[in-house]
Amino acid sequence: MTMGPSQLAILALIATPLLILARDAFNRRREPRQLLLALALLSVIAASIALTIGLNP
Amino acid sequence: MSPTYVLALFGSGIAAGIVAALLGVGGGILMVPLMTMVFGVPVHTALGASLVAAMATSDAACIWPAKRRLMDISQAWTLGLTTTIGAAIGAMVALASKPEVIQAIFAVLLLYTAFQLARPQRQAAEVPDGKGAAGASRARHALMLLVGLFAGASSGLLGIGGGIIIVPALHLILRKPFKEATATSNLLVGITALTGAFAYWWRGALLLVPTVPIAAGAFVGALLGSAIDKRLSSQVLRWGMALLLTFTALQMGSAIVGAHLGR
Repeated sequence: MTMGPSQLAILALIATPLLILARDAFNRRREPRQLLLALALLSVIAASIALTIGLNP
Repeated sequence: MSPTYVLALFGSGIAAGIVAALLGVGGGILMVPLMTMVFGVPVHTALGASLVAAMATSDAACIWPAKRRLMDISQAWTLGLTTTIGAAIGAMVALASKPEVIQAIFAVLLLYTAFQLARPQRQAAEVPDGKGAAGASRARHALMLLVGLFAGASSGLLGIGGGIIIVPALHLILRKPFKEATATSNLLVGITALTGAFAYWWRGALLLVPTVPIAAGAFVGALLGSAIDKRLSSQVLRWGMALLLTFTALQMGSAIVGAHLGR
């Protein structure tokens, strides 16, 4: 797909929860279980996005 | 696209954001009917924009210190594992469905929410508080993950944050105090809406207008709503919302029936 500036702006808005997730994970970097949970969540988000792209090429 | 139209969308976002913060929901339950019925936005565009606005509401809650302290971040992350998958599936189903089908499901959801708001609220004291996640059994956690999957699917399908399902479930299944359940749900809404919103964006359903004005308005509204004393969320507000949602559901229903008969 072709992306104009407006589409990129919306994509930036969509990505904001990832920033909050990254910040929370950074704050809990000394807790291995929490870091693992954050990584698992990130993996599930990435897999869901890949599934979306895969099913709607 | 006139400036008045954009300003009206922004104003509507503020109103929806305030109500969302007061009631502890994402605001999609108000924004989708508002955009489709008042502003004439196509259903799929409204669903995507509403998800982005729900994320903005979540972001506002996350930067509000009082709410931030109440959030159970680990619980939100754990539930996010299933709500994310549900949201991706729900969004794909919605994009493949006819707008009338989504509107009909939404009308039913509005009536259900109106009923939930109108009926007498269970006090937090009725459910033992303070036990937290440690007191909840594995079965309760497993059930909660299933509820999360359903809430995620509803989010992607109907463009809602999922708070109307998550908040009562956290309160009743995991026995979280109501305020903690609301705050945790606020964090979870952002994570859940992400994959659903991406699906709409990827299919080109998300447009700069209405997405940005309604999301910016929802962000400002949620900040204002968080600043207002929680005591304002009285029975009167709940009844007012219940009446508004019932009226909207009936309007939506009559529009679907009218369109069907007009063919």
